[in-house]
Amino acid sequence: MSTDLEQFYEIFFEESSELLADMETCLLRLDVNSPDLEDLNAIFRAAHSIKGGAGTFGFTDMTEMTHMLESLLDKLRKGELEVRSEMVDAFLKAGDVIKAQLAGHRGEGQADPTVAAAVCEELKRLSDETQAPAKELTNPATNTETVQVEAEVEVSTIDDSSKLTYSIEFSGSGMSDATLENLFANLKQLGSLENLTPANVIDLCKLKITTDKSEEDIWETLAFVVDPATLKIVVDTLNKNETIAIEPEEMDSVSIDAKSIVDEDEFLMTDMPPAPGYGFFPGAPAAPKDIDDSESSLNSPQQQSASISKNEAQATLNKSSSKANAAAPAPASETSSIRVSIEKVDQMINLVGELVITQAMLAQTASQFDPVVFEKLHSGMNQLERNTRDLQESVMSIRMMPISFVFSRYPRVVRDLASKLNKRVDLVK
Amino acid sequence: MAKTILAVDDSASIRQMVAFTLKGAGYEVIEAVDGQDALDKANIHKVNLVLTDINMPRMDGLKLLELLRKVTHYKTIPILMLTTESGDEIKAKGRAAGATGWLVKPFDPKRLLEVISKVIG
Repeated sequence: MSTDLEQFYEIFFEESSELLADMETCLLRLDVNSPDLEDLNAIFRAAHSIKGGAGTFGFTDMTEMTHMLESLLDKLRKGELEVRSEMVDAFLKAGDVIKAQLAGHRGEGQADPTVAAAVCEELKRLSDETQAPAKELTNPATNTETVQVEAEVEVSTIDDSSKLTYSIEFSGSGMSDATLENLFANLKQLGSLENLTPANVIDLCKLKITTDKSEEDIWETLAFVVDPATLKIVVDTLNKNETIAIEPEEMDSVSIDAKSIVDEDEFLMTDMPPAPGYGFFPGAPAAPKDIDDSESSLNSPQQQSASISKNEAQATLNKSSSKANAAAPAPASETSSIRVSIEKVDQMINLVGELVITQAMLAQTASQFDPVVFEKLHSGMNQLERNTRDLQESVMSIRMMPISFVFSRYPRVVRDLASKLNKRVDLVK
Repeated sequence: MAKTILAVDDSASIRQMVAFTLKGAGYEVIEAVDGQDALDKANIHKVNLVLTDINMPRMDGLKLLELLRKVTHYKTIPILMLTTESGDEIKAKGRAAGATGWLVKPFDPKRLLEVISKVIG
């Protein structure tokens, strides 16, 4: 079955515009001295959603920008970095670039790739330059025992596992030099990269990377930038046999928590799907039978999810059930709002306008008849007038926009102006 | 009788694309906009498979997974994670919460159907 993804573009554009507006609102109200975690999460989710959609629908320029945005935001919300005013400026600029890219895909102008590259570079710089102090910060303040153990295990895993070499092939068709350079830079962060692309071939990119990261990590780095359909990642068979599993004896000194993490890591490394992009957990409920279930005894979901008691879950479900039952029994896929094009609403308003005029003409004609003799006609005309007025008001209310739509633009204007003039301005609402 | 799939994603475009693809392949689809909405709908309709995004407002996919697995009907039903994060950390969390498997975004409709057919035919 083939699905024409173009039919979902318009909804993606609208959704992204709304997410960008929400992101800007959150950014503008963010207090850099004491940032609200919920605001940071909301900004991250917006970038994350746009990235997901852009990747699915093939808007690679947007995925690249949102990926950079998301990486820095993730560090902020996890407390690995501190929010600074220049970061907020960079986020706002990135939002502007994504808006321009969105407009470009809509056929309403064209985004400037040099501006996009500059903002990407700035986000990367902000993310990189503060990496060292961030590590210092996390150690004394937030470490629990488990986190410390996990860190030790991570080091052991890296020390003890040999690196793998992967051959990567994808189509570079339509990708700018800047995008490719950025992609190569990202891959170099995973391990040593070798570019094997023949000089006379333009479309096909061939790379070889030696890394201790998993195939999934490479896939993740590439999938949002290149067309997944053309992407091939193959483990170099010469190196594959050299893989050394982590010896359990070497892990004796670590606690049970750490053991389970190692088992999990080992499991995940050996459970790579034949085609990257999806996979199943052996032993998980309803997992396909043909996958290796030798690891099924490890970390059973029921054991691991002990953080939520059965009672709590049932209570939540009952609560949601009673809430759902209290509401009118709506069809399953119904949502609280639907998207309708403005043209259709405007057409409805015009038709109602015509109806109001017709009703007024009829009322005037009917007023010439004797109200005693034509009592029923007058009664019907009064009813028609009431219904017409109600209908007109309802339709007009559909077309109404919140007044905040106008005033919500002021905080950004004031911020940009204050920044440009180097003045401190408080906008009083 | 057509099998029913609960598709959970806060992104309307992804949700509609998934629903359109699955309906085209003969499945019945129920859409939910976040974990809480999914929990409400999963309680009313006993679906054959749950396909959930991870990063969502109100209730994320991992919490939804944990809560669904406590309910008798959903103990053995396949639940797949649909996520943009494909690192080992998120997979370990998903597995711990009771996921059957994962599908990384971006994906094409063909791959989605391939994964679904592996678990519910």
